[in-house]
Amino acid sequence: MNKENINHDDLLRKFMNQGKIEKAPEGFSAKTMARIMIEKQSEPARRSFLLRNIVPIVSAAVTIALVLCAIFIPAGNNGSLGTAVWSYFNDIEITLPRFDNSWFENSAVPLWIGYVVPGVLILMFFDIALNSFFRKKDNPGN
Amino acid sequence: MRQSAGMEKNSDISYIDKVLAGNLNAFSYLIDRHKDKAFNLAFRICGNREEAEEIAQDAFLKAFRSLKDFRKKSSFSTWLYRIVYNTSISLVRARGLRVLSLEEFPADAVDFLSESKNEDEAIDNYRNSLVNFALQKLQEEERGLITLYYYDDLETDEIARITGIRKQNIKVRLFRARQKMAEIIKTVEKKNVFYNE
Repeated sequence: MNKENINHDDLLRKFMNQGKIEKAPEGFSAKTMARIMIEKQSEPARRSFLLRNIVPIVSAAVTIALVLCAIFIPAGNNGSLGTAVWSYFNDIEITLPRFDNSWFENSAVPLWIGYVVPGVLILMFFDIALNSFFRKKDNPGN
Repeated sequence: MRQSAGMEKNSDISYIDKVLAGNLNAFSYLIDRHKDKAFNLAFRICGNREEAEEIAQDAFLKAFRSLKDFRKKSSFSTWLYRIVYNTSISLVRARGLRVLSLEEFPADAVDFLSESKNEDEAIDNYRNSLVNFALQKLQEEERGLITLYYYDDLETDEIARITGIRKQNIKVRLFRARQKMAEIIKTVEKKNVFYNE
């Protein structure tokens, strides 16, 4: 420390020392403990590992199922497991709604827009629905 | 002295163990022991008593929540002050910097005399106000360093552990902050008849 710095140090030590600390206000401990007790009481019961990690577990399960399907279902539909799974999916009769796309064909709008826009809307709907569902689960008080 | 610090650390740890074992009331002992220093650090950084109380309470709450993650190698006070320091810095940064002018300091000596029991108390109040004023003219990190160094009388190693700033940088920053504060105090003192008497 040079002389000037020592002078500054002395000056500040004259103004500040442990005896001059600002004390916490009256009732500080009681208020803090009250906050801790409230938090402890409102703490949700410990959820099981399965419930706490439901999203990654479901995602992993679906991904694994899709990967297995891709591996075991052969292109020619031969093989016992592949045939069984393939026939099962083939037996499900799903009628996808057909919409009149003549307007698109006659307009300057590219045809694929007609598929992309409903796709985006469906994804948006799922996003909102899942978001509200999981947020509600995470914040049961709200 | 060193023995008493060690005993204090062991005593803190024994209360932490009690809290972790389910005795929540044992935490009130830790609050009572560390509340003044936690509050002082928050107050000197943010410059407002209400906000400082909120910060100190939040820090104890955060400490309580993370008590199971506390590594008993360091002292509870170092860990707590680190939480207080970080919370205070975040709040001040979020609030934005308020630049004070020298004219804002209440330099009327009569105010200090009329609000104090005697002249000694008036001088103490005057000095305290002047320190707070000078601190508010520093950067928030510098306020924390000055408080930990002068009020808490901590070594630079300990300050480094609390602030996360490297020891060498602490020395440089302390030097600059000390210089700035001393200049402000001297400038105000020159204008003040009361203190020069």
